[in-house]
Amino acid sequence: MKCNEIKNNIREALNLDCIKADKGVQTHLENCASCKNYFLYEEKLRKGFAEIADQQPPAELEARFMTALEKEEKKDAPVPWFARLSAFFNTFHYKTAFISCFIGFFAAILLQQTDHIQNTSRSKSVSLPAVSKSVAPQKIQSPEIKLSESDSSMIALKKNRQMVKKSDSLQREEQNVELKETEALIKMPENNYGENISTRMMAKKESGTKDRRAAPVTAMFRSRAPSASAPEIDSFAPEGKQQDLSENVVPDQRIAELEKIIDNYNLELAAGPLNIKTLAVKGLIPAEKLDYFAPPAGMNWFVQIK
Amino acid sequence: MNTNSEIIWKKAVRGDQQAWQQLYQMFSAAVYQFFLKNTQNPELSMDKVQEVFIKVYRKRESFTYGSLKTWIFRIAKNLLIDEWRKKGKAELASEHVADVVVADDNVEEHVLKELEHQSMKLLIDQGLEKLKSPERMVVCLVYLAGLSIFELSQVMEIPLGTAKTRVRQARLKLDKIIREQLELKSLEKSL
Repeated sequence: MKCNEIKNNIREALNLDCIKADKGVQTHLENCASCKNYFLYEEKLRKGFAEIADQQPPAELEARFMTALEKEEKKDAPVPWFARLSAFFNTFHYKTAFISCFIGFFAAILLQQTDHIQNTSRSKSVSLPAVSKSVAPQKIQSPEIKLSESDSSMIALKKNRQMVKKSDSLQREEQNVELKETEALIKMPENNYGENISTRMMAKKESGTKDRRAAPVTAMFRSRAPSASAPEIDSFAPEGKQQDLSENVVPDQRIAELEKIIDNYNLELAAGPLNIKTLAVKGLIPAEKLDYFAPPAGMNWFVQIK
Repeated sequence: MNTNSEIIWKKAVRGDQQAWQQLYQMFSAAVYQFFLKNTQNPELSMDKVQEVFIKVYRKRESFTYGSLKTWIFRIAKNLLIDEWRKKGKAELASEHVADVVVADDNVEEHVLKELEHQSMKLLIDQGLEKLKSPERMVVCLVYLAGLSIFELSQVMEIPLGTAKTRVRQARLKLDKIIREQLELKSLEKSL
């Protein structure tokens, strides 16, 4: 190995221990005074540099650094979400946009509610009696029920339907919904109900009573006829007219109970056969009383409207 | 990065205050001396040391592999160059072509003898003052900070060969300065 090369290696070595460990270099150093002197000089130089590097900076520097580090850590600390949100909304443009959206949203809801109320108040499909806002249906004074026959019961039916007055738009709406549902259930089916004896009772408005019901006066009877045809219904005498019911009328206390149910729930029934089962499905008649209310074999309940 | 400094670094990244203190104690002396020898200003050197470690903290997430020492001294070197630019020594920051120094690395016996009576520390200080700034920086990075030639090339962002040449040139100059001082002292004694 050449001296220049060895001296270069010595100068560039990270650690002189690796030079000492190199046997080739060691052999050369033992035999070459120049390289040996250079190696000794390099050792002293490195030692001098190490002494300089070990000189600690002033003690206050560490304290300064740790203080500065704490400040940096506080800057990095996560900002609570509400502080960030607050800072976000504090910018003018976003504040304005947010407030505008907020106002617009509630204005839209208000308009929607107003439209809905106006639409429902315009509805005049069925005139309903005043109904209270309470959950339980308000009991309305039922008209007096008495047995009678009417020749023009169909006409009376139509007239009575038109006689209902509304007292309150909200009550009307609730009543309308309720009655429509019930009417759909009690609608006149067209089946033949078999042959039979007719019994009839008629519900009549009590004079002087404020008619709060939307439903017209109803009459119920058991019919002997195959179906409650118009002539048969017409055969019943209108209000005031007496008719001999001995042939067709069969007294039945169940009729009174059914009429009571009709009055209590303020049902609007169509003239014609009444299916007890539909009342039971709607919960108007307890299921256990279905058999009780079932008409005798060969008979059916019929509703007459006056 | 050796195992010990690696463990300390991982703790420090997670926010361990004690780990940061340990890291500071490991590297602060070499960094301080690096700045002190290159600026000759203790106050400025303290500020720069703090700046280095704060930068290390801020950029801790960006250091993922390699030598921690190399990374710290790269930050230190860049801060030193920025300082030169502020003082109008921009030309020193540019790539420096070292003066061609005739290779005279013979160390005479009498120089070695004189060395025994002199403080090498003092001689090094005096020698570093007489070096040019880029040469001084190279010498400090290799012999004060303890970087290898390869690490120097990474810090200076220069090729390995260029790093070797710069170290050789700077050392030859320093050695010449030190030998001249020793010979002068030896002569004074003989007189």
